[in-house]
This record gives sequence, structure tokens and C-alpha cells, in this order.
Amino acid sequence: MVLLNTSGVFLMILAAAAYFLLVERNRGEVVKFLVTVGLAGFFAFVLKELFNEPRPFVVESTKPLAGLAMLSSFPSLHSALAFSAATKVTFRRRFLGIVFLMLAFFVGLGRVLARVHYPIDILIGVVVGVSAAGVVESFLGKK
Amino acid sequence: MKVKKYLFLAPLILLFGLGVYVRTIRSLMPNVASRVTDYSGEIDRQALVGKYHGKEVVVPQEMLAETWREQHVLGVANPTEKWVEVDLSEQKLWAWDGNALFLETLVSTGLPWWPTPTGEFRIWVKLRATKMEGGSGRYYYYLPNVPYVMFFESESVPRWRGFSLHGTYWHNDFGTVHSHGCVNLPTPMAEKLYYWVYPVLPEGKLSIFASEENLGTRIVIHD
Repeated sequence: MVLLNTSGVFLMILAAAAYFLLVERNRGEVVKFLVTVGLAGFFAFVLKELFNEPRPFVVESTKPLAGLAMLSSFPSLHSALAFSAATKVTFRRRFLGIVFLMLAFFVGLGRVLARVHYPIDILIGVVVGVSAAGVVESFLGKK
Repeated sequence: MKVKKYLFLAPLILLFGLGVYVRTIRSLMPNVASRVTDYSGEIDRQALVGKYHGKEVVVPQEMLAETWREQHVLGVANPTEKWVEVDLSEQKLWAWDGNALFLETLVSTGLPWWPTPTGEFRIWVKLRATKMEGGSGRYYYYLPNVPYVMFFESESVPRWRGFSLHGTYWHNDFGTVHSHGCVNLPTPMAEKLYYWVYPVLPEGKLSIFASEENLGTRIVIHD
């Protein structure tokens, strides 16, 4: 499950970017994809700063089982990134998108099992990620 | 319809709105590290179980032992020579008597969500033991018989914010941040410090408020 933490998110983003660049050979889609992930990260970061909620391992006085837990808990930045990437892929390729969405779900699950997130953080992370993809898709326009 | 097309933005807008609201409310109502109602300093032998973040903590027997002792003031004419330094980034505390080091210990200060304030403070009351309460919801805590409590204040951080140096029996994480804003010391270190800092504890008393004649020791907290 730890594999599906930070490294899992990176791998997902790399894989999706590689897909748009190498398989679809569509630079425009690569840019839109990167903007999507960047926007999701930005939204999640600002929300974390606003809510400033403590992490579960803090509350339980235990040690976290995964890294990158110095920011506040709500919402999950990992989930926002993973789900924004997965949603963006789903807009283009339904089947590949479902695979990505499942991976993203496991990233979220991994963060909860590592005691760095509450399930609600993941849920809102999903909302932020999907919304970010929606924003890019409707404002940067479809070709 | 144009409005329908942008309806998917509603959750995002709601989230950011809620975030701004929560942030505003929190900045208007600053964190209270601990609430204390009993300033007698007496050990409560009936209260043997505390609560910390939803878990029960048993008060160890040592906390209940009567260890009152007299505070020796060996010809110290100038109480301003003594001061306590707390380094938040190193999670360390030093007690200085002029240039001489009296005590050095690892501590646990406030977590990023409940930061320990920086600046210059003075001790305004010393309590041999007291019941502390704080936090809310799942972060609620209730700890009876917290030993060797030294509350400090400054102009910008008034008494009701409840910041103090004190002994600790509910964790052993000294060297890393852990608290709701207080400076947690290992209990033996808190004991030594308690009988060293001002205000001077009069014979037979379990608590003492600082006054013009019995000024509290200066505490400097920095990053």
C-alpha cells in the first residue's frame, strides 16, 4: 500500500503524460493534462492552508506509515492529484480512465491506511481532483 | 442554459467558501492551549484517569506522590539573572542563571495546528499540580494532576490562552512536537525547573502567583 502513496501518484502522472505524448502524440492534450494536475494541486494546497486540520496520526499519537505529511490533513493532495489525472484520462479514453480511477482509489486507500488521512480528506480530494479536470475541460475548450 | 453548464463548479465554490469561513473564525478566536479552573496546586487523588484524543490515560502513581519541598533561594539578589530559553526548531529548553547553564532538556512544543507562541514571556503562576482541559471534538483532552505547571504570559499572549511549561505523563516524545501549544517537559526536569524559577514558592504552599515583589522568571521562546 505504501507503493501507492507518493510514488504511486508520480507514476500515474508520468504514465498519463507519456500516454498523451507517445500514444496520442497530442501536445495540446499534454499541456491540458499538466494544467489539470497543476490546478488540482493548487486547489488542494489552498484548501489545506484554509482548513489547517491535524492529521489522524497526530490525534492518535502514533507514527505515520507514509511520508509527505507535514501539510495539514484536509483535503488530500495525493487524492486530488491522482483523481484529476484519472479524470482527465477518462475524458479521452473511457477504459484506460477506469484503470486510472481504480489506481487513484488505491492511492486514497493507502493514505488512509498509512494514518495520514481521514476518509473525508480523500473524499474531498476526489471532489477537488474531478472538479479541477472539469474546469480545465470546460474552460480550455474541447478541440 | 448557461448556468447549468457551470453547475459542476458548485462543490468547489462551496469548499472554498467554507474554508475562508473556517479560517476567519479561527483567526478571530485564537487557540486556547489549556483551560485551568483550579489554582490551588493540590493533587487530586480521586482523578486517576485522563483522556487524550479519545484514548484513556492512567495517571501514574508518581504523579500522586507528595513531593513538596522548599525552594531554596541562596542569596540570589537579582531575580532578573535567571531566564529560560526554549528553541522550537531544536525542541530544547535551557535554564540560564546569567551565563551559567542550570538545566538542559528536550521538550515537546505545540503541533503546527496549535503552535507555541514565540517571544518574551513571564511566569504568572506556578502550580504543583492541576487539571488541564483543552481541544475540542476528537482533539479534546482532559488531564488531571499535570505536575509542576508554570503558566506564562505576555502582552500579546494573555493568561486565558493557557500556555505553560509543565511535566508530562501521557507521552514520551520529547524532541518532537506533540502538544496543544504548551511546552511539555519530562517530569523530573519540570520538577527541577519548578523549584528553580520565580516566583519563589513560600514554605508549605502548593501554588504561587507572581507579584511586583515576587516577579516571575523571564521565558524566551524562539524558532
